[in-house]
This record gives sequence, C-alpha cells and structure tokens, in this order.
Amino acid sequence: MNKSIVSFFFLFGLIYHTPTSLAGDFASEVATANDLYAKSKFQEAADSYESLIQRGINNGYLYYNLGNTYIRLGKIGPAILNYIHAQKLIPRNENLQANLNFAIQQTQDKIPPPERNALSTFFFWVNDLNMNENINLAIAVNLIFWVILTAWFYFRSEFLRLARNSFLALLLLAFVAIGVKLHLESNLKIGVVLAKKVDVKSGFDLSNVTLFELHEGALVTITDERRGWVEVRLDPKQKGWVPKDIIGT
Amino acid sequence: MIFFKKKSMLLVFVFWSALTLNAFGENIQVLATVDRTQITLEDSIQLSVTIKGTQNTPPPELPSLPNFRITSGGTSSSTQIVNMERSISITHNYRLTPMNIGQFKIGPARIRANKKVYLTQPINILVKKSTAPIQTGNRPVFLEATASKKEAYVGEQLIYSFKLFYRVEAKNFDLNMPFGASHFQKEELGKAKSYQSVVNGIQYHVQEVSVALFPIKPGKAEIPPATLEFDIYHRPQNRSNGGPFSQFFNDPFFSQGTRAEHKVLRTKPISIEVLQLPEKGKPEESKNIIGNFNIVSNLGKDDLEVGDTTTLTITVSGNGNLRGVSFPEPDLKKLFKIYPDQPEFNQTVIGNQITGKKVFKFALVPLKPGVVKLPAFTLYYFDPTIKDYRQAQTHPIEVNVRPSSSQETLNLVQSNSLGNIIAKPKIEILAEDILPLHTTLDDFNNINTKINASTVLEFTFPTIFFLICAFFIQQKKRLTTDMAFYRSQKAYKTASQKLESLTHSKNIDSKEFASELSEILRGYIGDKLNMKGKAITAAEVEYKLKKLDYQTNQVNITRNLLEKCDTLQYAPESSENYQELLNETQGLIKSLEKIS
Repeated sequence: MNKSIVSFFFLFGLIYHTPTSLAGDFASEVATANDLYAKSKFQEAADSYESLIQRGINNGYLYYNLGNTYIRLGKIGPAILNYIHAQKLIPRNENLQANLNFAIQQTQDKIPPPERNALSTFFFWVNDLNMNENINLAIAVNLIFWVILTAWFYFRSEFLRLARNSFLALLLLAFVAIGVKLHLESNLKIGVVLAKKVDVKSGFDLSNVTLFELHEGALVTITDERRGWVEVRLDPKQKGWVPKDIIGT
Repeated sequence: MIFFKKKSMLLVFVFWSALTLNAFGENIQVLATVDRTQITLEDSIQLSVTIKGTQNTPPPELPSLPNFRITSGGTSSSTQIVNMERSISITHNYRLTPMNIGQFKIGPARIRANKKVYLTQPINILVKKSTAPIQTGNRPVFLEATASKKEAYVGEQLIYSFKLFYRVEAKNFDLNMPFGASHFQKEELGKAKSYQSVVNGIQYHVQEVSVALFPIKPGKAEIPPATLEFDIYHRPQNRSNGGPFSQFFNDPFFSQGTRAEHKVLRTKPISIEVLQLPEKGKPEESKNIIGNFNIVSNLGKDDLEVGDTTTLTITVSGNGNLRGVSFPEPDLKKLFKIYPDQPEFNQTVIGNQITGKKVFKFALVPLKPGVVKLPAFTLYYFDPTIKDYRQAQTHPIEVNVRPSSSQETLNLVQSNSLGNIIAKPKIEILAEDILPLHTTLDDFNNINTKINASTVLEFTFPTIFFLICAFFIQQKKRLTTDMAFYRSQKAYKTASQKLESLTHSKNIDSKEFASELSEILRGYIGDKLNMKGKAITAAEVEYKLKKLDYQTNQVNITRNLLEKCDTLQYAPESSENYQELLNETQGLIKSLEKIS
C-alpha cells in the first residue's frame, strides 16, 4: 500500500513538474548584454538581445531589456514593439507598463494600446495572465475539482457537494478563459509603425487616396492582410492600408 | 404532398440557377457619372460609380482628388429580371465638395472584379466662383462672420460670431469653424442662439454661434474661413397646406416630390492686428492680465489664539483673462504659518462677455501673539478701454493674536491637524525617463507556450485518478451493503486459511479430515454462489457450476472431489492420501477462483 502511495506521488510529481530551460543556458549572454547597456554601448547590447531572440529564446524580460535599449538608441518604434511582445509574457510587470507609457508619450501620435473589449472586460483576469499562466490556472482548478469530486464520491457531504459545483463552474470558466485568450491573441493583432512616417491609404495600392498619416511608434490594430499590405485600424472610423513591411508585429 | 413540395423546390432552384447563370454570363461594365459638370464653390457634385454584372466587388479605388473633399454617400444595388434575363448592378455614391475654383479632372476609378481591373472614364469638372447676387438680403441662405474688434492686445478678449441667415427649409447642418489655434486661445460662450431677423425687409431665421478668442502672440493674425455644409429642400408648390397632418407629412421623408440640394458656404477670413501690451507705464509686477477687475479680501477670524486657524480669502472678479491671475504667498514675516489652497475659478457668460471669479484661499496659523496687520494684495492689469495699466488693491486687515490658552506646544510639522484646508504639496517633475533593465538572471528562462502532450496529460491525470479511486470506493461500499458480493470476495481467503489450518492439524482421523475438507470445499462454493454451503449436495454444485458457465472439466473435478470426501467419511483410508487430497482441493479452489 505504501509503495502504491509513493509511486502515485512520484507519478504526480513527474507529470506536474514543469521543465524549463535553465537560465544558465544563456544567462551569461544576458549578463554580457546588460553590461554593454550599462557601459552605454546600446547598439551592441541591442544586437546581443536580438541574437538571443533570433535563436528562439522567448522571455518577457529579454523583450523588456531590448525595448529599453531601443529607447536609449532613440528607436521608439522597435522599443514599443518589444514592450508589446514583453507584455504578452509578463503582463503584470509595473516597470514594463511604465516604460511602455513613457515610450508612447515620446511618439508623435501618442496612440494608447487598444482598450479592452466587452469580452476581455468580462474575463478581466485574462489580460493580467499570460497564456501559460491561464493554462496553469485551468490545470490547478481541474486538479482540485477532481480531488473534490473523489472526496465527495466517498463522503457525500453537503459541503463537498457545494465545493464540487463551485469548482466545476470555475473549471468551465477557466476553459472558456483560455479560449478567450487564444481568440484575443489571434484576432487582436497589435502592430507598431516602424517607419518615421507612413501614409495610410484607402486601398492596398500606392495610387490610392491617403486618408491620414501615422508616425513611428503608433500602435494600430491589424485587421486584414492582402498582397503585402495590411489593413490597420485606430478606431471603427479610422482605418486604412499600409505596406506590411513597415508594421512590426 | 412531399413529392409536389420537392418538385416545386426543384423548379425554383432550376429557375434561380438559370437566372444566376445568365447574370454570371454577363460582361462586367463600370461607369462613373456625376450629377453635373459645372458647379460653384457653394455646390457639391454627386459622383456615382456603377458596376454592372456583379455585386461582389470591393469598393472602387478613387483617384487622387486634392481639390475636392470626398465623403461617402453610401451604396445602392439593383437586380432586374426582364424576359428571364437577370441583370445586377451596384452603385457607390460619393459627394465631392470643391475646395478651389478651376477646371479639374476626375481621373479613372479602379474596380477590381473577377481578377481583372476595370477603369471608369475620366470626367472634367469646372468649379466657378459663386454666382449668387451680391445683395445678401436677396439670397435664400447666407453667412456672416464677424469679430468684435479688428485690433486687440495680446490676452484681450475678442468675440468671434458666426451667423447663418436662411429663409428656406434647410437641414443637416455641418459647421466647421476653425479659429486659428496658433494665434488664439478659445473659450466657448455656450450653445448656439436661434432667433428671427429682418434684413432688407426680408425675414430670416438666424442661427448664431459665438466664441471668445484671446490672442496669444502679437502680429497679424487671421481667423480662417468657416465652412457650413447643409441640405436645402425644394418642394413642389402645388401641395395643399390644409389639414391637421400637413406639417407631419411635409417632412421630407413623406414628400416624394421634394428635392434636396447640398450646399457649401464659406465665410471670408478675418484679419486681426494683435498688439503687444505697451511697455510704457508697465508695472514690474504686471503679469499680462488684461481686462477690468475688482479685488476683495476677507479673513475668517480677526481675533484668535496662537495655534488657531483662520482663512484669508482673496476674490478677484471681472471681465478678461482672469484665468492667468495668480498671487504668491503673502509675506507675513514668519508671524504665521501659511498653507495655500488650490484657487477656485468660476466663469459665466453674460451677453457675449466672459465674466468670472477667481478665489484664492490661504489657511493661516499664528505663531506669535500680538496685533498683526496683514498686507494688502495688489493686482496690476491692463485696461484696454483706457489703453493703460491700472491696479486693484485690497484693504489691509488687522488681526489680534492672543497667547494660547492651552499649555501644549504647537507642533508645527504636524500639518494633518489642519484637515482639508491644507493643500497637498506638489512635487515638481523635473524629467521623465524609463525604468532600469531587469537584471535578475534567474528570471531569464525560455518560456515555451504550454500547449503540448504534457498539458493533455496534466488535464487527464486527475480524471484517471478519480476513476481508479471511484472503482475502489465503489468496491468498498459494495462490500458493506451486498452480502453475496462480500461472501464471494472473501471466499478464497476464508477457504485458504481453513485449508492451511487443516494442513497443520495433527492427530486427526480420516473421517474427521474428510468432513473438514468437504466442509471447506462446500463453504467456498457456497460463498461463491451465495448458497448455504454446508447443506449443498454434489449434484446441486454440478448443476449450479454448469449454469454459471464453468468448464466441464472443473465441474467434474469438483463433483468427484466432493463425492470422494463423502466416501472417505464412511470408508476411512490411510493418512498418506490426505496430502494428495489437500493439494487437489487447493488446486481446484485456485482454478475456480481464477475463473470467477
């Protein structure tokens, strides 16, 4: 019996242990890039951070540091783009929020990030958690629900029945929240203008009428893409087409 | 019935397919038309781009038209069926409002359909100056824009008024009234006024909008032209005007013969000469306040003890740029602790003049006893009516400060005791910068998005755990409630224990051994089959086991063994055969257990 329990907990630990790459794998490179930044060698620091990202390292703090480096280089567009990338991974980081606001204030258009829609207002926690945190939340609620269900199956008390129903509701909510997060990440595609100035056209061709101008660092929502052009939207009334290569996503 | 229904649906389908095929077979034609080719700056053109042969195209791509302002007029689609020929079309309408006079060309609009690009033909448009009569009184609609002064000082209030005169039915007004933000600051003067006025003996409806402008720098300033767009409704003259519902049905919605004409009117730009305030006679303390002001001061209590609080209130009222008025903290030579409050500013519009009141409050806490004279407050301002500087001054106020009646020492740093009177100190922001890099290296892990096989396992593991637990819980519950199940589950264990005990028993005769063995075997079968084992016969056992699909071989062995035990009870044999019998029984029970 004891053997079974030990085996069970071993299996439990094995399944719920989250393997992550050790920081040591590339920590020395991050430290080197940070040193370059400290020595005001911003271009070299940016190159180091960029090379890590090019190698597939996905980390919110890496994007944050790269955003800071671009601010120092005076490249507001790439800075905002990297802050937006960082926001997906470390959405509750206060320094990131402050620096993103600072960077937006440096732009000519001063366009704030898109506001929450009705869906993300209802699922208010979705934007404060990254995708993995949303999934982990659902896994935790799922585990608690099944443990409570097992306990209720054995003891059948009113308290456990109430707990079972509550956690079932929470579990459904957590699953829907993952769906909402996926929907928001795939549909609410934020882009950043990387060129100094761009003419927003009425169609996906340079011969079309220029509707308005955007400047470096302007935050836009990308709603469509055709033949190397993307449809960008500021609000339901202001939208148009710009070449895809000058919008960072 | 169903047959007919199916048949009729098939007919509809065939009919519709024929029409659709006809429609798809048509060539696509594009056409750009305008409602007129000669207009004045007051008019607008309706440009219609019609696409025949399809309705599923993206909107036309219009050419660059820098001399026109383009607004969308919506789309209309049409489907016609004539002699089984179906023709479809869609029309995109645009309103082009001219910005300049001259001969202009509306280039070809591009329409993309069926992977081809179609171009409309270019159209020439002549935009002329307004041909309306010079006499404003004869015109059905005209504008008037005026400034209260052509010459003003920096900061002096100007009234910029825009008036629309009309004597025809006009709706859908869209006023664009720029004021020259680089030269003036603007203050709203309330909502538009509506009244009647007679010009050259003709009665007009008048809509008037006024704003107050304050010049911000000297030099020549220009208030740009205001633009008003609206629709004039021309009605047929033969309508009867009687009846109680005539007004209701006179609405353009019901009037089929009513024609709407879109008009654009512009005012002329207004030049203002903005003068610098004269340096001659300008007091050093002057802060470019311009207008006409009064100043009053009063004190909450003029007789108080050391440590008490009183409020000094200074009220400035009058016409002009009152918003810029400010006072420093009064110099009270360390006789009082002073806590300034945020000034309150109220503004009212009387006629076309902005008047206002700005109230400054200082909370004063006397530090020393004695009679103190609070100094007068002086406001220097420029009065444009006399074109000279003036000053408004309060009267000095005498305060009697008595020694504190309580012996407590005054805690000068504990400002919270003064409650809301004290304004929060403001922190001056000197510069802004980004927050530093993140340097905790442990946080730099590579984060992979967690949607993989491991995630599926993490979600399904608790379910499997539950199913296993549920099985055991169910078993345990059944053992306590289902006697047959309990006996069946415990049968093998009980029989094994009894056989073990029989193996080790000594001094037992063959009769007794056979009886014990028979009882163990019958007990096991009785427990398994939920029967009273002791009274069961070999024939009954055979019948029951066969019924439960046990193998014939096992059934025969069981019956033989039971019969052998019965025989042994009455014809004892040597003890050497006991062990063999025991082994045979154990083997039989094991084989029966495997099957159950």
